[in-house]
Amino acid sequence: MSKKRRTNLPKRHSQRVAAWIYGVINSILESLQREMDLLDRGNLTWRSDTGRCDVIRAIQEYVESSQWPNYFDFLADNPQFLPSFESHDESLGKLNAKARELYAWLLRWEQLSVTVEALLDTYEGERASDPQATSLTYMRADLPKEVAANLINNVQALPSHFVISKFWAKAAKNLLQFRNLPEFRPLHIAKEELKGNSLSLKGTLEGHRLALSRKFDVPAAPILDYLAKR
Amino acid sequence: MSSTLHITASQILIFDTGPLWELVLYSVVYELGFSRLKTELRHLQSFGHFEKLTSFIASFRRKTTSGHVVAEISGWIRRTEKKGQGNIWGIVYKEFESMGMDEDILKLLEMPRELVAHFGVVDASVLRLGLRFAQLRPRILTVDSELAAECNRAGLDAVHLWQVIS
Repeated sequence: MSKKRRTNLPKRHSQRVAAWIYGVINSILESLQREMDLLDRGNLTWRSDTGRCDVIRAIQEYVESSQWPNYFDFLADNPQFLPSFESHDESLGKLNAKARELYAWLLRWEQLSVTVEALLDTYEGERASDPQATSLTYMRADLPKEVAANLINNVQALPSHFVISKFWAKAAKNLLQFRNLPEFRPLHIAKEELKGNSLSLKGTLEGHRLALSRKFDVPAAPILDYLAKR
Repeated sequence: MSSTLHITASQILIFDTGPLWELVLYSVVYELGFSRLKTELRHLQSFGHFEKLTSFIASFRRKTTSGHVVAEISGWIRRTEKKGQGNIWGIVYKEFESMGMDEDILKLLEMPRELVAHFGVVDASVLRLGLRFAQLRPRILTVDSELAAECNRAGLDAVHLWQVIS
């Protein structure tokens, strides 16, 4: 009887598994969700000065650096995740590369500078009727760069305190049509590939967290009482 | 926005830390999706609030703040999760670049000791910045009622964030 009761007792809680779940899996899941929300909106958070996505990062970067020992410990005992982590990071690398190529092409493409120039002239001409609209003639040389980055990040509107906000409100409709050009296709494909990878990885990680929770009786998120008893 | 908040293009807006931090946090939460920081937002509770604030800021041709305010923002960023700090700095840089924010340096010895002792160096720097730009009829944006009152006593025009967004 007493032996039977012992086997029915909850399995021993594992602090190591808790560290995997709280320090590694949950951080990655939260970041993947944010990543997919951004990708759904076409906002790559790509920056021309760094040549990479600002918020969408490699999997290891989604984990607090203080938790990296737990990250490597997780991978040591759960090596089946290594290929999907690498696949995510490769897709991200490809997306960054496609964005860089596209940005360079957009700046070389004469039609972009000609269109921006024409839209800027129209904006400056209409500015007299709107005293709050800032003159952007001083930005004439740099505006195509800003426009190219906005096209890559699918920026639909800008907050009104941004200097080019009123220009963008007038020009975006015309400029965003460039996203339908064949030259944008590799970027769209890379974005979809990353999204697919992230969705699949998120599902697998959630399933694995559930399996670990069941096997080791560790809740999916920390509970204060639970932690206090440990 | 109330009619008393209407300004002329010759004015300059001076940011205290609170409103700038709200602006940054709003973008971090709603543009980048760091929803955990939502509880840190004390004033901007809706898109309407955000729009009123950005329209208010847009009505000033010049915007500036002090180096001390930037340092205080830095301290507040360091209190957040380390892995997200780079993203918050990304928004700070974007805000400064995109709104054409200037930044002025005030030396400690330029600020009266009594003022620094009473208000702290950050508020003292905002007040002194206001006095430095007095001829441009500056407006100081803050969430600190005590600072706003002191600015008014010094003949400066200060506005609380809630007046802008209500």
